[in-house]
Amino acid sequence: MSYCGSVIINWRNYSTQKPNAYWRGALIAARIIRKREAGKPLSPRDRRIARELFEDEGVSNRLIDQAVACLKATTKF
Amino acid sequence: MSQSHDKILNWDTPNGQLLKTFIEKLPQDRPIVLNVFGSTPLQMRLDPSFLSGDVDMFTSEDLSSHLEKMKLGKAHSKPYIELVPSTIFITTPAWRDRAAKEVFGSITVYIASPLDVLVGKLKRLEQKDIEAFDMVKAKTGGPTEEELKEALRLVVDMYRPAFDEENPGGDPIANTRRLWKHLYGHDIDVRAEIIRPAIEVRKEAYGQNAPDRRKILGEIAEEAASYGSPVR
Repeated sequence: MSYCGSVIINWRNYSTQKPNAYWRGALIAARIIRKREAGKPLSPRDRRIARELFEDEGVSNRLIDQAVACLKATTKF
Repeated sequence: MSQSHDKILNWDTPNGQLLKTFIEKLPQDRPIVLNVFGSTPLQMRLDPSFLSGDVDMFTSEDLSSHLEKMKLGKAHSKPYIELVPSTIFITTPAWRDRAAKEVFGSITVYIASPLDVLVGKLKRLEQKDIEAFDMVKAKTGGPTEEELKEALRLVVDMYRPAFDEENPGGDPIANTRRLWKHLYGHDIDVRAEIIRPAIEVRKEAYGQNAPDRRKILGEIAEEAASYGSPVR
């Protein structure tokens, strides 16, 4: 499975490997942002994680934007 | 400017014959790619009388020893083969899509399109280069202003200031304006028409125009602080 989530495909040998830590952080950030945009209440845990991710420069705006798009996408490859 | 009608190559031109001789003498035991630019493509694709002293090319491997043995280099032949670094050709990575391609056994030759050749000449823009623009316009009717603007947007880095260590070799902005007056009869605002649109496209592709998601994340983090939730 390669859908934005926790596992990506290594096309060379079809083995799996963990995604980049910043991309994983961006995906978590995107989920929190989407939850807020949907008007759902954020838990203290969401807010704490949001703060940790905000303080991590590696979780860049570009990556979060890609992650939001990835979560919104309807087609999975 | 049609990119198809001029893909027919005339190998009987002086530079075409030289190139063919060079290809015939190259080893056939491995794939070799020759990338030809400069004035030779104009001679082979549009006008045999557009003469040039050399055949500029960069290659997939160092062929200088072969060139030396064949005696087709600067010291021996007229015209001559000039092997140059690929960075000499100011172009876009998409140039091969527009190039004419010929295969001779294991040798593949790409002959750059007239538009890519012209763009590559703009930084220097000597009188002979202006004649190349005139010739292409006379033969093909192009490039139109929009075609040339689009092509120049793809090589926008050409307009950056030169390094201290290099010979600038011409002012591309001034040259573009000079060329525009010559070809189209009026001036052009290079920054507004070429540089800014190209940078805008690039920013979009880099995700720099994306909504400020980190700001939202920061707001959520601030709320956490105001709620006094524990932060480990």
